[in-house]
Amino acid sequence: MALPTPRARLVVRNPLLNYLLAALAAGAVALLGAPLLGQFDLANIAMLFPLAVLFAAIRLGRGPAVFAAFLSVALFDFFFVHPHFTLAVSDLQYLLTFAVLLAVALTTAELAARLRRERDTAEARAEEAAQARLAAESERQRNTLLASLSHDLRTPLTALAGLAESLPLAGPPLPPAQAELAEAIRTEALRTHTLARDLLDLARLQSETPRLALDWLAVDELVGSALQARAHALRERALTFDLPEDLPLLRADAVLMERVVCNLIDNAIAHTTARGQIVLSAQSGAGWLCVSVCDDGCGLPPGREQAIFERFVRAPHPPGAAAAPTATGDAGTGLGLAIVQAIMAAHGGHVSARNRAGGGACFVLHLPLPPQPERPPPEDNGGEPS
Amino acid sequence: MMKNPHPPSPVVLLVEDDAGIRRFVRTALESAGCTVHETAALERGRIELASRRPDLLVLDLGLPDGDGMTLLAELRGWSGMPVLVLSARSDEADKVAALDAGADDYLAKPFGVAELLARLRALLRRALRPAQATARIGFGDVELDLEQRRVSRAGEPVHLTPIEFRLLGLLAAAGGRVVTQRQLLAGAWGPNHVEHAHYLRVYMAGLRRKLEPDPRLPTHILTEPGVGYRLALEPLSAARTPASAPPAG
Repeated sequence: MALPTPRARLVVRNPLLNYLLAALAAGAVALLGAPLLGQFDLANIAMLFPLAVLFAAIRLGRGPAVFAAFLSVALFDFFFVHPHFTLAVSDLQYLLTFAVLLAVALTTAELAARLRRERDTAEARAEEAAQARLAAESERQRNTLLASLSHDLRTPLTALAGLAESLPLAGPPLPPAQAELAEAIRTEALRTHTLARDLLDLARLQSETPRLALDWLAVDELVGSALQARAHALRERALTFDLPEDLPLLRADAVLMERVVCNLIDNAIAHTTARGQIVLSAQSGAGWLCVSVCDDGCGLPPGREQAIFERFVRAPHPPGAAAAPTATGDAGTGLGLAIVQAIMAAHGGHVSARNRAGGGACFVLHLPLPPQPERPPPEDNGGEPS
Repeated sequence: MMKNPHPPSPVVLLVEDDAGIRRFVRTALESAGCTVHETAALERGRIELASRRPDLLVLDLGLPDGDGMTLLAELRGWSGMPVLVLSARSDEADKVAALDAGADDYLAKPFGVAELLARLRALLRRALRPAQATARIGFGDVELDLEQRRVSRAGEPVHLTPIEFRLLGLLAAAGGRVVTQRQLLAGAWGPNHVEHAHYLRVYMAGLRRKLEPDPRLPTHILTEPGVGYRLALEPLSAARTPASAPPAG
């Protein structure tokens, strides 16, 4: 029998009650037909019973309707067909009436039940569509708000940092103490900008459908440009590479992926000493590509390997390690790893962290690999270009 | 540094709606020996452009009375003057659109004085010295002769495929500025291939293998994620280190 669904409002009752109602409907039809016996042809009286089935199918569901169909045949035979008050049949032609009655009743039950199902799904779909529209609208509003907030914060902070920086240019050279203050203002403005940017980016990334500018990316190029962007902060750290040639291309947002690698490098810088070692490696497997950033720093607090991806959580810095100064003057906001995680999730990948056996931490990015694009057409490489 | 500006100081028009940013950009440009005219709106900028004929335009994209891109498109109809776009938008697509529409370079907010002046100098230098005069270009231990179509590294000739040479030529012709992926693809493979960004990944890796001291840590053929590539002609350390002293000029 059809299970009552939340949408089929009248069937939510006890299912047995539905069968009882179906029986009552068939009984009512029999009662209605009783006075007609003798005045109407039996075949015409039989035509009344599909009404009970139709009612049961529409209001009570498929099971009670089928039950009503069989009960109708039985009632018709019992009360109307000679000999009365037995299920015996005197004339075999009534078997045809029964068969037709049953067929009509069952078809009615089936058709009515299907109609009801379709109505229910259509209603459900309409509701889903309305909800999706509502979600899309609030999503759009949210993105517009984030974009304008980002613009409105960026402009005055740019002015603030720039004005502080141009203070020494506006007149005679500043005394060292004042120059230092001007520089402090600039640094703080940039730090505020970084924090605002990170918070807004995180909000944007955690929206249901973050906008990604997908492009084909080469892993070595991605790592190279991130290292280039952090060249100033990396200075004396020893870099080791384990990037196989001919790694497959990634399909990802170039700016966001550079951000991911930069944030992991910043993290490694923050947790290693000035001469620490950073290892960048990548491997590809069937359908997956992993990029790892490992360091020989103080490692992760044991048992808290996943907690570090939460917002504003920072692992303790080792004594003597720099407090994450980077080329752009970013100091860690405590959002770096949360952003890494959000960007990876937006790309259908994930990031994991573990401690290395020899000390230090390892962050591994896992990204799905799409089918590779076709290679560029071969060149006629015969002679020197001239 | 600005040893050879126009004998009269270069004239810069600044179109930017934020008063604070106008103020500091003006201070920075004047300290570098420029004459600065400023305006806060698109309409006024249009008039100033036509009447003052500046040597360089510094243009903010988000203006109260319209999009800076409109002004850029109009300007490119009658002038090739260098345009530096200031963008508060974090979306790289906007930078790419501005570069493809004819902007020569862009600065994303927040930017610093040193960065601003470095871009400005590069643009003015290029405007003074047309591309024809720079047939020979050197970076690192690489020498590139655009006329003879020859490349050598540490004195040894390097063999480049025709497409590699075309890509390098496009980057070199930009004189240190970013060239968008679309521009590179159209220039090297033709306008039907502008969507084939993966071609660039393969070819740039090849160029780096042939020309970079360490292809894993490129110092000349640089990726601008989401935008394109640029050829750094000067040693990077100098380009990246913020100059604390005011430039001479």
